[in-house]
Amino acid sequence: MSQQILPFYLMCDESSSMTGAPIEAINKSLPEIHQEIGGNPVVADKTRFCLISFCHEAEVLLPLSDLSDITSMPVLAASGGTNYSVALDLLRDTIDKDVADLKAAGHQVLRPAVFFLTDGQPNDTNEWPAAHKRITDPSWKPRPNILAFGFGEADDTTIQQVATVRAFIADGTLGPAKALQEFAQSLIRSIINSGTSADPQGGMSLAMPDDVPGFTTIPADPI
Amino acid sequence: MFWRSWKSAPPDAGEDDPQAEPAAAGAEGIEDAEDTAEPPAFPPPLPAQVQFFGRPHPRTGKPRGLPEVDEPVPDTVLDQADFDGLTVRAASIRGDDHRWYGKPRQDSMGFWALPRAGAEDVLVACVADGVGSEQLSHVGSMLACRLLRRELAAYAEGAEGAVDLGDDADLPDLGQRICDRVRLGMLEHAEVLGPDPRALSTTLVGAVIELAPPGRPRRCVLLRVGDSSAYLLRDGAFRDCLADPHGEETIVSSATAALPTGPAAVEVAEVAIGNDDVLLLCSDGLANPMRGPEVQEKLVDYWSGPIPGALEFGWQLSFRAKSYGDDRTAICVWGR
Repeated sequence: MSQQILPFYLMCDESSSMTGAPIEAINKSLPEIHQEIGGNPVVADKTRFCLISFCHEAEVLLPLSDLSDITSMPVLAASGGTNYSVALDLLRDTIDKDVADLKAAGHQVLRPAVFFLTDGQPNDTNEWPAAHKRITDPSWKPRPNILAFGFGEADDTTIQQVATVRAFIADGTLGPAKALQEFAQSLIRSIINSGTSADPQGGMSLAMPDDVPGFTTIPADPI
Repeated sequence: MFWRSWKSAPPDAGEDDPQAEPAAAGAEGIEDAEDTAEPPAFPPPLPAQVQFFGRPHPRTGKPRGLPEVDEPVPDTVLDQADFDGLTVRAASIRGDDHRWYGKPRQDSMGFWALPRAGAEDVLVACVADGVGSEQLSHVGSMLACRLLRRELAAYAEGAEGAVDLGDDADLPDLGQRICDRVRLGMLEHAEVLGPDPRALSTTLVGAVIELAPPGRPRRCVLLRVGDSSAYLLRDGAFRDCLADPHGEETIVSSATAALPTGPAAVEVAEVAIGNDDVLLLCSDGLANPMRGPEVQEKLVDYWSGPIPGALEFGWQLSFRAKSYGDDRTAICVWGR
């Protein structure tokens, strides 16, 4: 049966600097995301959710899923360095395959949305801009809208460069655990509002948070 | 007494009421008159469950609370009419998304027979889809339908004579002028009421159909602003009468033109409605699920046989299809 689908991708940094409170906060939030989205009939039927974790390597922890179909969420474990290239390359391959699969099943696919969360500077300073160019290439039709969230050691410029639509940088008013809870809430609200057909033109499209407590909103400035 | 169930208190059929039907099996051949079995329950006129496509969320379709609106906006409107050689069935049904969030139905529809000076009457039918994010789009869609009727009636009765269906060259111009007047009417309304004109945003698709005697195809002029649709069901297949607003996009977009503030590009087309053709005007709440073959085939099946009654038509449109929770409105005009 043909459906209209807005795919969401959560790209989550699980490098060793995330050890402790940050990774625990994310792991505590994932079941909340599952419950809030999966239990909402309006939103669950129109959105799909994928979780990709990255450190010096990247992995699809939850393939693009209908959150009302799954019974539990994966768990992140912190270790290793921070490599944006492998993360963005895996994201591009995953979106390519997901969109092709959804189209082949006869679905109507809306532009994917990516929530990119990181707490540190990438180790692959020279390589990641090329990977970023591939994922924002205007000739690549399913190129996603990227919202980037930085905290910990992440700096404004990098977060602005990763984002294509909006960037958020932790302002230190909340501890990392609380800030990450707010991040998760903003992701939930974004998915719910996007799935509720609140687009200015009358249909479904990405509803972005304007403000996230504990974060300062800064304009996206893609490379 | 109406609160008694049929089973526990069957009506005293056949004794006083000459209209009463005998029991289902008829009076003949019933040998076991002492049979104490309960009389047969009346079969429901329609299946209790609507048609499902895909596997919608188990909570889908719960109506929950009432919308907070000044004037009541019914959850569902069914309408119908029969003319000499044309039959109309129409339904406007609140989407499951709006039911879940307690929002009003934002689609509107209407149809009217309008007299023309010196020619047959015309049937005017229209569907308007209020733009989702706007507070008063349910008012805007109702207003667009009423204003389209008003402008077409004025044109038909006006000094210039009848609605000009005769000159193909003038049709786009006529459509543009009519829609411009609808747009201006909406802007005037916005000025009086005070809302930002954008709050009234709506699409509009309308048809003007000759109420000619049967025996020849009826001319039908279509006009449209935005992404509502018009199809002709002929020989078991739907044909798009106007260009597909979203087409074959890799990544779909929901952007649409709208009245009164959007780009008011008016599309105009002309079709002939033959015997056994069905003209369908609908909002994207139906056009989007129709992009898949399952829904389309089911509608072909429903509408290619005997013409459904109004309740049956409403049931047919009430199907649940996973991810399609928008308001759904359709007007079907059968040529007979």
